[in-house]
Amino acid sequence: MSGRGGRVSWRLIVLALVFAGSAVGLVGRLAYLQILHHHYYTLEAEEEHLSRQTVRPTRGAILDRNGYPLATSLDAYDLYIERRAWQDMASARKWAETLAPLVNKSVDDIVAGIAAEPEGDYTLALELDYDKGRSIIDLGLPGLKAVPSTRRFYPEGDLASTLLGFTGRDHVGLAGLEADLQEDLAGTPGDLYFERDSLGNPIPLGSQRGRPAVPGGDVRLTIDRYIQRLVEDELDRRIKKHSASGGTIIVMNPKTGAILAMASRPSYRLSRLDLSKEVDPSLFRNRAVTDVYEPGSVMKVITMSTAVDLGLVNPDSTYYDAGYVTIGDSTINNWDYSTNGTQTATELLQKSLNTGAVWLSGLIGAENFYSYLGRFGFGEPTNSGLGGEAEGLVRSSDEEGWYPVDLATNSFGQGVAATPLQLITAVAAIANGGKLMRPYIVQEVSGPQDRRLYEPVVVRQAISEATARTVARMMNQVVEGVPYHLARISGYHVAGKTGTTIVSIPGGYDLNSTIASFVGFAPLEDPQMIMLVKIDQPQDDPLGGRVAAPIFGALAPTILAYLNVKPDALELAQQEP
Amino acid sequence: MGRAVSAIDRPFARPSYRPWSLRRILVLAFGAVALLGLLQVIQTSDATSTGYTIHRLEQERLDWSAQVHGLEAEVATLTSLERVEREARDRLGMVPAENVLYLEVDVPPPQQQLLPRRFSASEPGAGEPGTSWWQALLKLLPFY
Repeated sequence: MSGRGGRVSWRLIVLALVFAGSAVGLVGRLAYLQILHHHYYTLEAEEEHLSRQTVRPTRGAILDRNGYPLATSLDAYDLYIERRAWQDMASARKWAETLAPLVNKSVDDIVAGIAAEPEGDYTLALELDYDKGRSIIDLGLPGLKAVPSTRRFYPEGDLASTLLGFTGRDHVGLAGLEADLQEDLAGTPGDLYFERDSLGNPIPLGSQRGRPAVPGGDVRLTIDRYIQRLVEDELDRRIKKHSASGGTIIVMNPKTGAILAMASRPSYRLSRLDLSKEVDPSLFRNRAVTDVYEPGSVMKVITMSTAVDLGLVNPDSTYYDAGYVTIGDSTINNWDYSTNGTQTATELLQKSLNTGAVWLSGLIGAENFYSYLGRFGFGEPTNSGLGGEAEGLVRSSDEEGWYPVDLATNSFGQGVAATPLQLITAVAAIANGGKLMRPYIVQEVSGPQDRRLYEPVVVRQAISEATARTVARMMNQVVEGVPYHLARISGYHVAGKTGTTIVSIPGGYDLNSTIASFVGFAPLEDPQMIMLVKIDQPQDDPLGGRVAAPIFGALAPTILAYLNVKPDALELAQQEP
Repeated sequence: MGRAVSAIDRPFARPSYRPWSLRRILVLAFGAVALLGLLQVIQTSDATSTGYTIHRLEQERLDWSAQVHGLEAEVATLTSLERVEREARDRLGMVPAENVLYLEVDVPPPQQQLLPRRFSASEPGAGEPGTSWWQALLKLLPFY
């Protein structure tokens, strides 16, 4: 549009400038967005278009030695409701009426939960059964978010609760083997990044990347569920019978250190554990490894083994029992205040004479005594792999606070503290030709990529084979040389020792409270099983021989038959014990 | 005078043809583009459908997997000691034995309870499942 005389009209120039300016502005803006702030807007776009999902791995199962599951995982859903989608109360109530029977909540609870806060997610249900979760998802309710999850399930109910432990809401082990073996059981979470549509669903053939979850490995224990069940039932029965405050029973293979059963009370109901409610955390302890106690007369077999191994005594060696011994200002009596005259070393064990133990400790000497205690594993953890294991307490002669009377009292199991697991492991060395084995509870871990087998470990040769054989025979005389001993069983020759300790309290001892115990193994010539029984504070009878030994007598025949251990002699088996 | 006649008769008359018009070319080109576009749409639509099918099948796989886990748990519950004892006492009327007789027998023990394969003891040193003869033959080749 040129004006008169061929000049370009000013309107055209203005228009051209406007267009040019707009173009420059657009290009500049594009450059600002796509070049200068490229990274920022790329992230914004990814945030909008991409979803990230953590793929939870399946937690491994815990199996008994024969492969029966003790703890396994089931698929489940965690369900949440986005509060903003449920603003309309009439609709919210209607939807809540549909959901309430499926999640076992009342309509009012759901509506109140939604209304409690203006924004955020309301937790509708955690670890909901998979089928119920799917049916709720299929309802297509607005604002409903479903996160795949798992739920721990215990086919054997409350069996071995203190041993197995439990997991928390985030599927991390919090106690027991679930915590101790967290790394093996947990697996590795995966990640999934995917392009999503407006409904949040993955776009088929859209961009996807991530790494798959690696499931946790299955852990096979050395525990036998049948023996564990027998032991727990008997423990519960006897604790009730004696009105005791608790107890522990451990069954072990003395030749390998494999723990066949481990039960302790008090405990908790694993199948009904609700961590949202207040629970006494002391119930979660595996007292077989966490709690120490003074072993009492069971320690006499360790003292005897030491003396025999040093060549100081043999089963027929004698000493004179005057009924008491004086060490400095202290007087030590026999447990029953008896006086027995000349006694052999075997009779010392049969009658559980404190004076005899003191005599032995005098022969052994402090240095040797504490050295042998160390060889039997006292004062150090057994390294069984169980969490919370206590070291025990042994004060040796070169430590501050030790007095000569301590040697005397330690020789019959007072003034020294050990866990039940330490004690059974020590006595098992006598049953195993003198070899101290490391107790273990995990037999195998089978992961998706590898498989690890755990073999028995010999810690050390605590005493010689000959000593072990000699002391075992003496322990057999404790059971079979004493009329009507309640640990005697038909069919098998048993070796054992009872223990009765007064309970230590701050500042001294509670003379009205005892711990009754018994440790025994069978068959004598080829031990296949060793058992420790410990009953805490029985009210009707304080003695190990009358409270703990009968438990061994009740359980051992069934366990030995279950393990297919041939009786020592069939005719012996047919006799009454 | 007539037109000169060729000395050689032409036995076959060359048919007359009309060159392709622009319109025809445009119509054909448009048709080809439309067809390609349609093919592309069909392919994309098919891929999308397949994608949703895959997604549905993935979900089905998860459902089956959950069902398998549930069945494994059910087997474990049914073989649990508590249930076995309850059935023995309540349904079969069994009681603990009072007298135990030991007998020597020369018969193998009963077969172990069948467990889901996932839980059954893996034989130490168990190798791969049996290979066929041709796989064994191929393995002899250096490049296999």
